[in-house]
Amino acid sequence: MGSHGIRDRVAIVAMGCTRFGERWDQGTDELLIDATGEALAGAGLGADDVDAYWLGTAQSGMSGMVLARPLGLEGKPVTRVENMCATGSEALRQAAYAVASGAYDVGMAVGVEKVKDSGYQGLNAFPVPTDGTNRTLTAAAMFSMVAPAYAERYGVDPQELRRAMARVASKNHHNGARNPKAQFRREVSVEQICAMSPVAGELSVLDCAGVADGAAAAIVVRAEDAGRYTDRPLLVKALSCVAGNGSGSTDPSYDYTTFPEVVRCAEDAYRQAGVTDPRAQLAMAEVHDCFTPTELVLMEDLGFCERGTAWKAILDGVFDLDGELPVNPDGGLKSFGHPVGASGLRMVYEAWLQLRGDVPDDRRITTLGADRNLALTHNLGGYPGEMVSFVSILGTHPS
Amino acid sequence: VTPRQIRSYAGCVPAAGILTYGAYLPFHRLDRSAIAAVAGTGGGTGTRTVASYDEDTTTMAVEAARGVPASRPRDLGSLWFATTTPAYADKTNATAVHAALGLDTAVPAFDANGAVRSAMGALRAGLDSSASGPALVVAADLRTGLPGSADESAGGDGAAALLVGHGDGDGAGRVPLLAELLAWGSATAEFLDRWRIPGEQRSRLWEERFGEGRYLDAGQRAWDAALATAGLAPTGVDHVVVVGSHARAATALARKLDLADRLHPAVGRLAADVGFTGAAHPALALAGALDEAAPGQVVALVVLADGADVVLWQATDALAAHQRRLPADPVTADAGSSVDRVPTDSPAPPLTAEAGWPPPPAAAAAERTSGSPAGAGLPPAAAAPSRAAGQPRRGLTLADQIAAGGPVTYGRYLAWRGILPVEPPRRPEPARPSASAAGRSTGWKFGFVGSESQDGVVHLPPSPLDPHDRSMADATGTIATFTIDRMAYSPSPPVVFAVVDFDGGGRLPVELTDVDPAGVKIGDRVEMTFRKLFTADGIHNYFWKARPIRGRPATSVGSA
Repeated sequence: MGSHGIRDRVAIVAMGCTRFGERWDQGTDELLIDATGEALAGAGLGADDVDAYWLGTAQSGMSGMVLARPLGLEGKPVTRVENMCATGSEALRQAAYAVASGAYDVGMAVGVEKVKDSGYQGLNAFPVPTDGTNRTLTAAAMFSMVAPAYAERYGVDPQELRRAMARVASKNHHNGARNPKAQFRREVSVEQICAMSPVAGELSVLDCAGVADGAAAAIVVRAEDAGRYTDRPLLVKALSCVAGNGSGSTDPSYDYTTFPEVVRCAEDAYRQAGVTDPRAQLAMAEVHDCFTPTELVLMEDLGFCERGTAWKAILDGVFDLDGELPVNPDGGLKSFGHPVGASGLRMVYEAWLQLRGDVPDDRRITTLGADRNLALTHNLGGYPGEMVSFVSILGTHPS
Repeated sequence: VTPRQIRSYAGCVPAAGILTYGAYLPFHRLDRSAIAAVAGTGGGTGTRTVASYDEDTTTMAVEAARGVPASRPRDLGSLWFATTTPAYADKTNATAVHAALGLDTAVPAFDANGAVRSAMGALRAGLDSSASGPALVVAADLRTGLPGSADESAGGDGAAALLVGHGDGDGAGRVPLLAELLAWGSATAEFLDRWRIPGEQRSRLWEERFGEGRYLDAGQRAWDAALATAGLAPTGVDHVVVVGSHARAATALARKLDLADRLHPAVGRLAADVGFTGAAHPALALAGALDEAAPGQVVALVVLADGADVVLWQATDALAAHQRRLPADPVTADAGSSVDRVPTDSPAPPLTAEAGWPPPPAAAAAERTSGSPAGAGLPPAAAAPSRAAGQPRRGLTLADQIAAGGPVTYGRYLAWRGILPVEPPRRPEPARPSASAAGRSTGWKFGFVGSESQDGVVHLPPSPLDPHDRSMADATGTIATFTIDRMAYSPSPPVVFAVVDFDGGGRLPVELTDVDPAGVKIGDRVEMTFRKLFTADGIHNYFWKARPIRGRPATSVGSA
């Protein structure tokens, strides 16, 4: 028994990503056609050249036919995968492992969500019949419970913590403002965010991810075949997934200042990739900033900061675009938007652009170097105490 | 001839009466003076109680029954539930109370619904059937009327519970009677004083002089009949509690029978601060009188509803002990609540009922030494400022509950009753709960029974892997973290939500109720209360919420 990873055995050779946002002009079919079309064009392939597909969608459709129908696929294996908000990452993980196994030569991971047709603000989960005892709060409210717990545990002044959370949103808006595919392209100051009225706990709408439609896609092949499709492939260094058992909502020892699933997941990914000092070794990270306190805690859970210090590092600009370790240079869920099934692949898309240098100067990270060329993506689904976590590490050079 | 002599003549029949009693008043109070400013008429002085948006007659009945010490004796014979405002028609509501109390399936539960007088019918049925075991008689009501009406301002919401049966005179070693039944006189009369088509929000009334005359006649007849049965002279009655929706008739009857100087002040306090609670009012007013009656005193309960019922009770020596215990004295810890679980298809699960109060000394000692992991490890209830699972709640006196409470605005009151529909949150309404899923989890959903692993870890909701049940309804807890959700669907936003860690183990993220959102803090102490989360497709979704611990001193005053 053991988790061994597939370091350097699989490469991403092309990607696509639609503009995220309130896409009243496009349905699920059009979003899928656009994202897969960009990826196929990048690799110089047709849809029929891909041997197997994995479609991630949380609730925009059932089964692989959601993809097979608009693409007109003939006789292809298409699997629909779902792992809450980590769905897109899960599609990539399945496609990469299938290619690594030798079962297929070319695989495609696709993520899509069409959330804005519901008629409601925010995200709404499919109702599963239950006994009615599970109170469903908004995700914002669930994550907002981190803030008072964090302030209490580390003795952080609530106003200071409020500013640190606002700083997360302000940073991500700054980055997203420079990204043509982002949902929100407007800078917002810390002061503006702090002045907003709360909607859940201390969180205002500006502490919440954008609710967006969108799709993203990645084509994966065995690393030795990558040269056929691109001269600048992205090597998969690590793929890790941990599904929590929900114990945080039943175990009084869980204190809402950390996401233990993420800690375990990151440890596994770092081991697979051989990363020992993530803050120094990673050139960038895309993390699941569904709400501002989430990004705060992730900076500690991913090993970028000591416990109880992330709020300070955030205020010090450590994770700014020009900081020591840029986090969410594309704007993150906050500013780029969060089409559930697509977000995990959107994160990889930013790593793809940044590590290959395919971004304009005003959004380019400055940390890349000969011995610093790894990117981390972190994607989660669920709530504090009960979540699934995904971490990938990607790089441009074989280890 | 004294009442005791009468009974001794009867000889073979052991005394029946009240074993314990309790009351529940909802937290919110409507200042009656706020009514006229909006409705243009109506209102008055004082306050009325207002059931919260998440309460109905069933949930209030559960709370009243839970507040009664030893309301679940092992030999409980029957459960009766009376209300004018049942949550369901065509389906029994007492079964939800039965499930919330964790009663054995063999205990029958019946509704007696529709009229104020149904409460007296339920009490009578409970007393008449108590040869087969004590009867828990619960009444709850939610009184509505059109804005500006007398029913609106004079009405109130609340519940009360009486455990009736035979005392220790029958040799069963049970708790003693607190009040013995001396006599019951009835007069039944068909006439229209007030009436309501089922489903309507208000009752209609005939002009009151007509009803007054009929009630004076019926009241006199029932009074005479009760005194004759008891062999009592009118002067043998120490306290009189006159209850009825026809306030003028109640006053006139007391005058006619020359009882004005013996009217118990509890009745006036209820009228001033609570309102007339319909089917709950007879037991509520009686509870108020019994809280203060002295041993040997005779209390007459006079109920004017579609005729009259006059019930004479005599307080026993045990009542004094009960009164002393009520506000301050500790309740003896009950048997550990952790019991071996049985397959859900078992036809007769073992009783999870609490022991009678107080438990016989030998039994209590045995339970402490050989009891379950939960019971054995509990600190003595007397010293503990908290209740872990299995420690019964202490009933608050009626006066305590009247004194507690927080204000509700008239607008919010109207919205809660559906009289003033307000814009709902722009979120999908919750789906109806699944009947079959709920049917598999009645212990959890209605009884708040979790589970406990072999090594003592409590799981909420219960884990199918655990060997033991763990009753958590009476456990208290502490807020670990919390939030206010202004976006989630709620019948009355915002949702106040907290992660609660229970004393003695167990955690549940759960909604708070009867709480001021601005006042919630980490470390706040809470207890559990049975509520209705929402109604979808006509299904009332009952479950539990947490609220600031009620009691003396009041720790939190909500604003709504």
